[in-house]
Parts: sequence; C-alpha cells; structure tokens
Amino acid sequence: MEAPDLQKEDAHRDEAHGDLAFLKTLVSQAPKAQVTAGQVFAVAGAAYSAQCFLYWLQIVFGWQWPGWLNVMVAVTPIAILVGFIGWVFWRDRNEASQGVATRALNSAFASAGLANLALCVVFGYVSATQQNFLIWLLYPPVSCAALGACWYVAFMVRRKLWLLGVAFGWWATAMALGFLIRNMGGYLLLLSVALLVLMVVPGLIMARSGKADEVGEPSADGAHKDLAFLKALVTEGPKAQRGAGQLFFIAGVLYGLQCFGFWVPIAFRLTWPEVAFMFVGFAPTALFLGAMFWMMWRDRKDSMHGAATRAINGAFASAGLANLSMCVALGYVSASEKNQLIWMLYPAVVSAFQGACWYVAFVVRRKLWLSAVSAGWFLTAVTMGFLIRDLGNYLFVFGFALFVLMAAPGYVMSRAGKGG
Amino acid sequence: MSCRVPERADSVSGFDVNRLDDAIHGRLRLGIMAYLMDAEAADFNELKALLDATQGNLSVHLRKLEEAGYIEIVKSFQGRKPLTRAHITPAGRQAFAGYLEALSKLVEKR
Repeated sequence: MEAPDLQKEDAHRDEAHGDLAFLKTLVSQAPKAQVTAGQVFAVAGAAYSAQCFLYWLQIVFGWQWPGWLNVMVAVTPIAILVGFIGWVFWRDRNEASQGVATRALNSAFASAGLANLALCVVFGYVSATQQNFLIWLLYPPVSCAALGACWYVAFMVRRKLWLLGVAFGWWATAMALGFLIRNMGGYLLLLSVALLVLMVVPGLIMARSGKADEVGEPSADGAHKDLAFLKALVTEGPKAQRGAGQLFFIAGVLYGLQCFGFWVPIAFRLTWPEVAFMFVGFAPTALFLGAMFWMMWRDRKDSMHGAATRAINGAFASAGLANLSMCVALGYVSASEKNQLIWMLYPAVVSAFQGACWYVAFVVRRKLWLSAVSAGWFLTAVTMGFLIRDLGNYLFVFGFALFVLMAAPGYVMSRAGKGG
Repeated sequence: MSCRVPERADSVSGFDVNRLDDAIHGRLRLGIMAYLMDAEAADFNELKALLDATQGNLSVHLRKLEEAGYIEIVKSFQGRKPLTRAHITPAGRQAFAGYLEALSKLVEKR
C-alpha cells in the first residue's frame, strides 16, 4: 500500500511548497506608501535649498535686503513645509493600516523630525543665551546627521544601495559643514546643493516609485530557501533584541559611571589626581569598544531577514554613525574656536539621536515602554541644553539618563530576547 | 503549547501529517503567525489589509490562535476608535518553530 501513501505525501509536499512561498512573499513585502514621504522630502528639500541659495547670493553679491524680504526668505520654507505636511496628513487620513516595513520607514523619517525639533530648541536656546550665532550655525550639521541616520534606516529596510549613498552623503555634509563654519558662502552653497542632491532627488525617486519592490516568484524549487528564511525569522528577532540590549546595558553602565565619575569631584569639591581623570575619561570608551567588537564577532552569523529587525538594528546603528559624524564636526569646531561650550552640546545631540532611535523601536514594536524611553531621551536633550552652564547638574542629568534610559531598557531588552 | 503528539507515522519519508499543529495549519493563520514572527505586534486592520481577509474571517482565525495561546489580543481605543492588536506569545513562537520543523521533514526529503 505504498502508492497511495506516496501520492498523499506528494500532495502534502505541493501544499507545503505553496504555503512556504506564500509566507515568504507575505513577510518580505516591501514598503508601499513611500510616495507621501518622497513628496514631503522633495518639497522640503526644494524650499530649504532655495532659501540657502538666496542667502548665498546675498553674501556673494553683497545685497542689502529690506526687512520684509529678510522675514519672507526666513519664514517661507517653514510655511510651505508645515502647510504641505498638514495637507498630506489630511489627504492620507483614511489610508489603510501600514505593514511593518512601511511603518519602520515612516517612523525613521518622523524620528529625524522629532530629533531636529528637540535640537532646534537646544541650539536656539544656547545660541540666544550665549549670544553666539556660531552655535546656531551648528544646528544644520546636526540636522544633516539626523537625516543621514534616517536614510540609513531606509537602506536597512529596503536594502537599496543608493539609500546608503544618501545616508553617507548626509554624514559627509554634516562634517563638511563643521569644517566650513567660518566660511559662510561655502557653508550656504554646500547646504543648498546637499538639500538638492540628497533630499529633492531621493524624494522624487521615492515619490515616483510607489510600487512595491519585487519579492521573487513563489516556486516549489525555492521551498528550501523559503523554509530557511522562515526558520531564521523565528529566532532572529529575540536574538537581535538580546544583542542590542546587552550593548545598551554595557554602554549605559559604563558611560553612566563616567558621568558620575566627573560629577562627584564637582559636587563634593574633591581633587582627584590627573591619572584618575584620565582613567574616567578613556576607560569606558575602551571597554565599550572591546565589548562591541566582541559582540559583533559573536553575532556575525546572525541573520536579519525581517524588516522589523532590520529597521530596529538600523536605527540603533545609525544613531551610532550619526554620533560619530557629530563627534567630528563638534569636536573640530570646539577645538578650532577654543570653545568648550560647543563640545558640551555633543551629549545633548547624542540624547536627541537616542530619542530618535528608540522612537523607531516604539513604532515598529508597538510597545508603550519604548515610547517612554524615547520621550525621556528627548526631554534629556532639551534639559541638557538648559543646563549647559551648570556643569554639575548637567553631568548628573546625563549620568542619570544613561542608567535609566539606556542601561535599564538594555537590560529589559536582553532579558526579553533571551531564548532566541 | 507545543505541537501535537503523532498517533502514527504515515509516510515513507518520516513526515507525519499529524505533527502539523492544527491551530496554525491554514493559510490565514500561518500568515498571521509568520507576520508576527517579525513584527511581534500587529493591528487588526494591518492584518486585514495584508492578508486580504474579511473582518469576520480574520476575527475567527485570531480567536483560534488566541485560544491556543499563540497570540495575545489586546483591545484598546485610539481616540474614539476601537483598536485590536495581536501580540505574539513565547508559546506562539515555539509552536511556529515546531510547525516549520515538521514541515521541513516533508520539504527536505525528495
């Protein structure tokens, strides 16, 4: 009676192949609603690029604008952007619920906006209170770094190389703007060109290619691959969560201790030997880098098939890369201007970028506690801006935030991802 | 929750159809489970659009998965609109892994 059994098994096998191909296609679905984000980018890029270009023309030709024109050039891009965003929100209010890939991408773009908003408050406040326009000029490089981070997430989700090019383009722009901070003409021209090339053009490409990416034809031959893909999906989420959580826990504890290490002598008027300060200054970074490279080696074979896992990993990695570009830009300006205050803005920038990446995690995973972490980081960024002249409290707030908003969520994540 | 215990091995390749978990077996439920493996949580309307399912049909399948302990349904409000959200549970993750393992016996033997 083998023949009927074989027939039955063949039927089951065909059904299984069909199911696996269906599941792979379902989970691999590319983001669909990129048209709106592309339109917003194109409009915002064009408006701000034109603004920078006009300012550049004013400097190059030495034009004297009347007051009303100055106000108009300053306000028009904001009015256009706010109006356009309001209109697309109204237009798309009844859009169907989005899939996880679309959600991840939109959250990355939204998180860059939120980070920019928090940093606008910080840089605006510090620039106004210190009556130092140079500090305000550092705001566009920070925005560029945030934009680089969101395009990096887009690359991680869609796996299109040109998106990675846009991300690195923004980070290079952020650093170049730092170097050009005393050359107003070059600074404005570079920003204008960058907005055109790295915002308008990608925006138009996104707005045009509204269709979903291809996901490969379902076929019986691909059943092995489909199965391997789905099997990886079961464990990769928790594994990635565990890895990221451990890294956050280590970073939070090390840098939190570093902040308190600097805070203690200020708060209690202690005098520590130079070597102790050197240790507190460098040991956390050395230990953190060691742990990071070890974990990268340990997890080097882990897969990243799911859009959600890729988006969250991309968000955390992009925050690190954006921090690096800001470290270069702010470090250079601080050193060349011999102004320690500029370097003090760096932790506030780090906090805002942390807020942005936890926001992406919240939107993708839909867990409320992640939104609280994100909000906490944004609040920390703004608070640090206000405390920039009060070094003791400044260090205490940042140290506290590192423990509560980095080490603790990292621990929770690593526990939640256990068993993956 | 784990996969069902087989009553008999009914195939020459070692594949046993009884090993396929009934609570997961079925296109729509499989789709829900596979999507939640990545997303971890999904709204009712998101799943409805993704799986091209009707409201009634999706509700039935979600309830079946909830009864098996593979997903958790959380009902809340977003503004004035009711919001139904499905979350994968550790048991669900384990069951889906078991399902794929059972399926691999069939796929990998040619």
